[in-house]
Amino acid sequence: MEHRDGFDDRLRQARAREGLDPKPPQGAGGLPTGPWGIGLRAGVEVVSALVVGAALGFGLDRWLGTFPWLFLVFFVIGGAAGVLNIYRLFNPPAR
Amino acid sequence: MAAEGKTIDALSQFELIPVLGPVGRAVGFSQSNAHMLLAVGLVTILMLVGIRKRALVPGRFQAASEMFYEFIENLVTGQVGHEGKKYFPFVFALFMFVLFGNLIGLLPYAFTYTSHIAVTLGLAATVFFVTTIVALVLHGRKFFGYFFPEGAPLWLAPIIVPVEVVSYLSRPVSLSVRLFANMVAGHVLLKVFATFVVLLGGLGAIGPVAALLPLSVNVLLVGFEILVAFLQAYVFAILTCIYLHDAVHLH
Repeated sequence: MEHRDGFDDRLRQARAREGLDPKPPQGAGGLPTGPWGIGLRAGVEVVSALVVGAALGFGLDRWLGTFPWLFLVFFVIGGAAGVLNIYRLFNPPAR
Repeated sequence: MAAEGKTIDALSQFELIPVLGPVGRAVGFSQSNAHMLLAVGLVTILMLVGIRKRALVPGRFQAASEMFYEFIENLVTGQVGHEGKKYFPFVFALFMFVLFGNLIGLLPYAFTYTSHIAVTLGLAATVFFVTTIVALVLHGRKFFGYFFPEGAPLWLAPIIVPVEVVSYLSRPVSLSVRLFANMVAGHVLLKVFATFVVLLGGLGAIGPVAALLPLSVNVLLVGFEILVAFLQAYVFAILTCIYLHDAVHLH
């Protein structure tokens, strides 16, 4: 079906000539790059990393009976992980 | 229903109500489960009807099913590469389930199962475990090198490794919270403005004119929500693909 009279090729050339094909999106892995999209994503990334860090620290504290020390340590680590997520959001690793 | 007692009741739409009478109550079968079954049924019907004729010039259903298929196939091969083909069914099922959940939820009297964190976290946890298991099967112990970038000084390991692990664990949380928060926010906004229409409409002579304002806002919001429904399903699918890329290639 692909190569019937080279129709697909001719269609692609015609579409390119008329400028009908949208340009491939330029952005972090094809994700929406509008200001709202980036802003909401960034907020969710920071908060979720912080929550995971704090929950992990709290859980370890409950297990080891060292409240509040591991909670405090993992809260900071969660914040750092949030910043790392933001860094990855704006500088996606090369692939 | 929304304006009972002249208050704005925006959250009761997310309550789970058992359906199917005593049987549903006994097994906890809520309207959320019913809508999930409906979505799965609609997706199945769309795909089965779409591929039934296999016409050279596709009809409506065939065009729709081919469009969804090619869209996700391009997404998977574009993000994961050629090795990603075998994960196509997984991403396709996730995308269609989320998309139909978002879209069915916009119909009047329907329930949006993607507005429950239990559902979205369940989907995100599935993605998390699948990607982690894929990485472990493909790379074995080398997978743990993912948490420590090559070339970093070794004395930084006590800082880098916990941060990377927390960052990795935060993936399913951000994935699920994004979808859940978008759907809840949209439906709360719709309900609040719909309540304004009813409340303002009862304000005597000027009421119906004033009620036109929130009504027009709601018309715009419904269009916006259809966009959000597609966008969030797309974001869910593309993030799944990005995580699969990390699992397959371990850059």
